[in-house]
Amino acid sequence: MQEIHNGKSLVEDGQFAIDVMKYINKKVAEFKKEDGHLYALYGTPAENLCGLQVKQFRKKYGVVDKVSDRPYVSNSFHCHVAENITPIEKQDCEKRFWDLMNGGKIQYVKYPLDYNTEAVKTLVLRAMDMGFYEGVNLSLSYCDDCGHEELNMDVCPKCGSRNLTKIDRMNGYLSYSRVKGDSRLADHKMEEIKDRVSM
Amino acid sequence: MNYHNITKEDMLNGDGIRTVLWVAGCNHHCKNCQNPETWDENGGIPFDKEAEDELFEDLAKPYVSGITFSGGDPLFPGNRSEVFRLIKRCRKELPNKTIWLYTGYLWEQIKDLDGISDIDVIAEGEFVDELKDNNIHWVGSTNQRVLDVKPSLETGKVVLHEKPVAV
Repeated sequence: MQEIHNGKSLVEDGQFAIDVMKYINKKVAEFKKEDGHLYALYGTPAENLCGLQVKQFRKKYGVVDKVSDRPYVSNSFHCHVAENITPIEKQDCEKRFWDLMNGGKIQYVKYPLDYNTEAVKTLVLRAMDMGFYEGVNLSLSYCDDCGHEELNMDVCPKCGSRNLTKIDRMNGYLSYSRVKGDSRLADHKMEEIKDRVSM
Repeated sequence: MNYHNITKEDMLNGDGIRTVLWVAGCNHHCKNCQNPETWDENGGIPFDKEAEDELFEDLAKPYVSGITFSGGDPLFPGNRSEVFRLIKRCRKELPNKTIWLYTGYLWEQIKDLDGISDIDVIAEGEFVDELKDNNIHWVGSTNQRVLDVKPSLETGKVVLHEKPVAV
């Protein structure tokens, strides 16, 4: 939405997205008062819709750079997974939207190593101070033939096997992105995993 | 002293989130070195006051666990006095930050250097391509050791930073 507005990402700008969210929240508050029902906004990764929506958008508007040029749409207020930003920048950027999504939300940071527990601790404590529900993202792969484990591999460096099991976080849960060479996730979500830099 | 970069919010070169200073100059010249462009002591740019301000400003941030000296080799003879001066300044002004240092020298060759006891953790030894292992912590090849300086000096034996995990 921010990209359509002025061609800038949530990291580069984001003010328009904040204004829209504030507007929706104002409406939500009005509706609550009007009919006595509880409504809330939910930040969703939209497992299936995130691929379908791009197809529907393209039918109407075609391929728009940074809006519909990838086979998936990004999760709600999250910085695009391909943004080359640091974990601290990602936390600060997403903090701006945090109180505007009270139906459900999570914030993720990706870790390039699985043994820097001090870094995990630092970022989780910082997230707690900011009031976040913090997700810790590490990918894990292991070779089904020789048992070798590595954070991220497509071919086992020890035995050359492609018979790997890979685990990634998807839609808030750890899932098997590859089992015996095959994926169990939707194609558009697999494309998203490939693009991940900051998440 | 010349340097190549100051990287911020680094998670790959020591415990926690760290500020890393990549200095120029190294005479180990390991085969398949990750950063051969840092061997030349005249490469990079001078480490001036502006760079030092930038370094200490980042280091003071509450989420930064400490500083890591890498390169190049921070213990390249031409770098030693400047690196130990920075280590002293860090100890004095930011006593809660940890100090890590990567070097191609062996512990036995550097343990008596003046100022070495101000360092918390040293990752030492040349990178040996034939002993490369992606799964060992913090270093590239299995001959390299990551050791805690204080207990190593006190006991006179190498005390590793992390106990090896039995496989």
